[in-house]
Amino acid sequence: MSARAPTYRSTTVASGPAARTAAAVRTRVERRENRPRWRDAPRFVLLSVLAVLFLAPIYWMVTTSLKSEADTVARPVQWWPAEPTLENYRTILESPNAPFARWTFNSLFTSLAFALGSVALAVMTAYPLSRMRFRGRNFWFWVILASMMIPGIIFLIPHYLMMIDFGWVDTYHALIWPGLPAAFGVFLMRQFFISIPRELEEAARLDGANSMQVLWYVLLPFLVAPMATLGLFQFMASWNNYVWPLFVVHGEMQTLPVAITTFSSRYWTAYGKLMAGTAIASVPVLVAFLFAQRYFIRGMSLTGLKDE
Amino acid sequence: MSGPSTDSAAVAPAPRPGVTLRPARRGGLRPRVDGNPLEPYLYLLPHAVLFFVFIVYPVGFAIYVSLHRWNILSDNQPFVGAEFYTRLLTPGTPQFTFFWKTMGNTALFTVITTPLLIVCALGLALLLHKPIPGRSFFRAVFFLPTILSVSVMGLLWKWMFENRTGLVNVVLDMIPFTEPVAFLTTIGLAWIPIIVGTVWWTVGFNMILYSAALAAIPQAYYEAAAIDGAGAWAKFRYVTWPQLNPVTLFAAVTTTIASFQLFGQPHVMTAGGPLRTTQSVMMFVTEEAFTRFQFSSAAAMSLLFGVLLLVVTGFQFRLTLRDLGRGRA
Amino acid sequence: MRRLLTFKTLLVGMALALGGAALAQVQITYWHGFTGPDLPVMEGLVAEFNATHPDIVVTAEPIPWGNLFQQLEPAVAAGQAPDVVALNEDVITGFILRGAVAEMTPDMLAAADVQADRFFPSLWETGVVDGKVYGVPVHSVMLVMYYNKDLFEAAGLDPEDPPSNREEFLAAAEALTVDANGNHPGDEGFDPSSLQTYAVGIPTPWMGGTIAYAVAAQNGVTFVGSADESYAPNFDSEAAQEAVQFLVDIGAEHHFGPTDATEGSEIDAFRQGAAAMNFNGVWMLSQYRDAGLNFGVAAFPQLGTERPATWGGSSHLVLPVQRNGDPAEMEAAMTFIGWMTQPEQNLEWTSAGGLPTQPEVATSPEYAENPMSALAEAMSNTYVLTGFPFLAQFRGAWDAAFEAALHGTAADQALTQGVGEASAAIQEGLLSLP
Repeated sequence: MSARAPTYRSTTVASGPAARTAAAVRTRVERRENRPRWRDAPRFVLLSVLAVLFLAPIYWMVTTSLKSEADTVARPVQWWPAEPTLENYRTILESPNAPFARWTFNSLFTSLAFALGSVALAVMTAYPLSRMRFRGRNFWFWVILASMMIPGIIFLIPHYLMMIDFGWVDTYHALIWPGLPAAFGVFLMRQFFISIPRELEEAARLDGANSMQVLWYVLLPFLVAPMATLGLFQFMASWNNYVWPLFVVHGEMQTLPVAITTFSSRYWTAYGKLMAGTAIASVPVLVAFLFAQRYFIRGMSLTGLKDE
Repeated sequence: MSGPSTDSAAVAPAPRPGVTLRPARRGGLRPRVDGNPLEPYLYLLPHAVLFFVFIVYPVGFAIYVSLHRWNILSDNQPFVGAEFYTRLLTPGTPQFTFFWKTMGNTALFTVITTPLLIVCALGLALLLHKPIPGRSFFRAVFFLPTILSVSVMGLLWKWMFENRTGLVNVVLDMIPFTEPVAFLTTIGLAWIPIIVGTVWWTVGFNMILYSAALAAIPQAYYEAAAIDGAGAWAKFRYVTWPQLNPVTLFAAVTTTIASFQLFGQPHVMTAGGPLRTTQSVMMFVTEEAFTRFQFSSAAAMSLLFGVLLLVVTGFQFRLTLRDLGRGRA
Repeated sequence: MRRLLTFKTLLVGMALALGGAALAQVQITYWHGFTGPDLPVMEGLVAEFNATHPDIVVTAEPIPWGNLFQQLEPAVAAGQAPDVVALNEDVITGFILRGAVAEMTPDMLAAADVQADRFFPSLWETGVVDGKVYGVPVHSVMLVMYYNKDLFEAAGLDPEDPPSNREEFLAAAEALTVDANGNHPGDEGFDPSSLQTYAVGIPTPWMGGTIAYAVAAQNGVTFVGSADESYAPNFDSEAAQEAVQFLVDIGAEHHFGPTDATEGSEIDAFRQGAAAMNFNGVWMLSQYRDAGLNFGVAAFPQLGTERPATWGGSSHLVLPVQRNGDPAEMEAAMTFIGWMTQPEQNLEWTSAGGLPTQPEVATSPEYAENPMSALAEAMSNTYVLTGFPFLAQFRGAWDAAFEAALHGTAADQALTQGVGEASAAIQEGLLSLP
């Protein structure tokens, strides 16, 4: 597991402070002068140097992937490919047992299914937990919440043995189902449900709407953005998941990020092809990031707005 | 959270300080006068089923497996009691030797990375705090690596640090008085690519947390401090830093939990080498399970490790509870 | 695949239920780990089989070896095992003893036209446990020496006569190692940190362990005791220490190469023309050929003191245990195994870099054109640990011990530690056998 998963997710729950951020930053920016000032120059230079360092590995990935294998290790080093070529991309995409299209589909399909499933399940579960009154409600909420405490490593072995029993090894099921009941989505959606004014619901109830209609017509329209945010995060989490798919699916059933490491054992000294594969595997998330960047931010501010 | 098991609950993001967890007030709930009294339970049912199958049952099953000698090819699983636990606590057994060795490795990684990820994130957030041309670009650049998967990040940095041909060594070769270093295969130095890669990869998240927290500090505090004659350092020391405390605590706890579950970076970059010096606990558990098919031993290890982790997650949970208790942080 | 399989099982079940004889083709799946340059050759062979056997359809699934070994047991447990699997010499006995592989009875072997005496005996024995046959050899490899002819010539050595023993190796290595100022090791002012070209680097971990294994075998080391001795490891002998020390000294003492080599860095260095010699498996042949090098391939030199030997490996076709065995599929699987291991197929297979599995092929005039045929003599000297269920445990400890020695631990200490580790792991493994 990655060192980053938790922090990653935690941002979704970024609420109070995060929320205030957006607003605060905005006003402050407006209040202040926007023109660059000379005493900012050292800071700007420092930031630029850091940005170059941060982008260097990505630059090196792209340029390496465009070099012939001999040029990747050539001395003196080629900062830019002497003869840029797409040969590496062609080789790996045509390689009979590097089914990149299939791997991409696996990742897209399972991540999408997982994201949609998580959102649907979270909404369905958070709805009664936040807006209905029944016996055991608080107890059940605490049980779900408490499950967040269980370290994930405990599940690895039993889940794997269960997959063998279910006959789910090397199936999409194994990539989708086991992670669905995690508490995070329920917890997050419940926060949003609570923030919706009850009066709206009352009105619909008076008009004779049943709970399903209330959910669908009254509450969900308020939840589009949080659901999109949750979905996006779950999508990314599933896409980037490493340990579980590494062991539970194989061959053409692999997900793209895992596949490139097994793929790397074949091309392990052929860095041109390796970096081409790596580039292909990062394109979808990079694109998602570019398009959904505002969802990250909007999600953050929305999370916070609720109780202000 | 992501799919499956390993990630699921563990890394479940903790509500951060400041999040309201307060249960909705009873009085405010709409009294149920119509509809099926079972209705709420029906909504809960699908999740409850999955919750039982994939969270409750597996915990019990893991304990059961760890008390037997599990052989997936056999119908007969002999009961061995606490044998696999005693092995983990008896010096001389392979399990003892490597479990605690990899535990030490993991702890070393955690102790180094967690402060780094806090300090670097705070540094970046401070650099970006005041307006500067291209601020959103810089922020996006520092955040960008966090969206990559661990395999991409691992392969990238492995290539950057490759013994002779990697970019880092190419540069070291060009700089006078420095020489290429065999980072990936030298005991001790092999941590450098892993740690540098990890910081590059994850610092963006904590940076965003800090940016948000910084923006939330009331300007009046600084103005008051200025009236007291505080300089830049004093302002940071007596206003900024204390105000950031909750976020720092939160970031420290989540980063610690994540670091303890280290797997992908050494798996991709060093395969745990040289001489298992960069092998993490997670890697050893998976080796025991999936290479040697010792599922019971692996289950015992993951339970023991899980219990040790509980100390940290429990602390995180208490933070959450405290917020809950207060209704608002 | 999995889905196909279940679907197929369903179909078969339906056919049986209807009482009709299944006239349709028998579908079988075949897992193998030949994912390198040898993949197209294997796929060609499978296609040829399918073309010549209209009643059987084989679907081959190439899976990297490490993954394949991980997948096999769970697949058997789940009743989703493929019909034929290729297993390597280092794992096959373990799988057999754990009950993942089915026996091939003499009748089945005879029906499939497989004769034990056709194969090199040591290869055949690898697939046999307690007198029962579980696997048929399909692939054989060994550790060899690649050398750069241009660098040999530049160093004043005969490019057609590479070193074959320790003395020749040391002499050649000194001539081949040159620092930035043109000095050789032993010359005044020789600077080992600025090697221009060098003889060879001894890498870590797996390939290094393989090389050390070969040299130790040349010193007469047997590594582990027999089954009667509970497979007690014994590789901490003086002979083993001597072998390990000699290899460590190549870099650390003689400066004939870098002390921080990895298999990858050595391959790179050899391709770049910086390393004059490279110890690796026969499977590297096509990669080096594609790199456009002027190189030769020779038997692994006798760096040890007792006997010529080299590391050898092999792959064997086996029948995984089926939970709901279908006799028709089993028969088809045996037909496939029998066909694939015939001399004609083996000869075709050697074009991908594998060595012959049977003398008939090794001595055939067609094979004489293969660059590896020069190694025919060495083939009888390959040293393969067979019939040993815990090779992975032994190799893990051996590789780690050699790696520790390369990193500066005294050879005797490293090996003593390794033996301790291996015996604990092997004891552990013994318990896990049903």
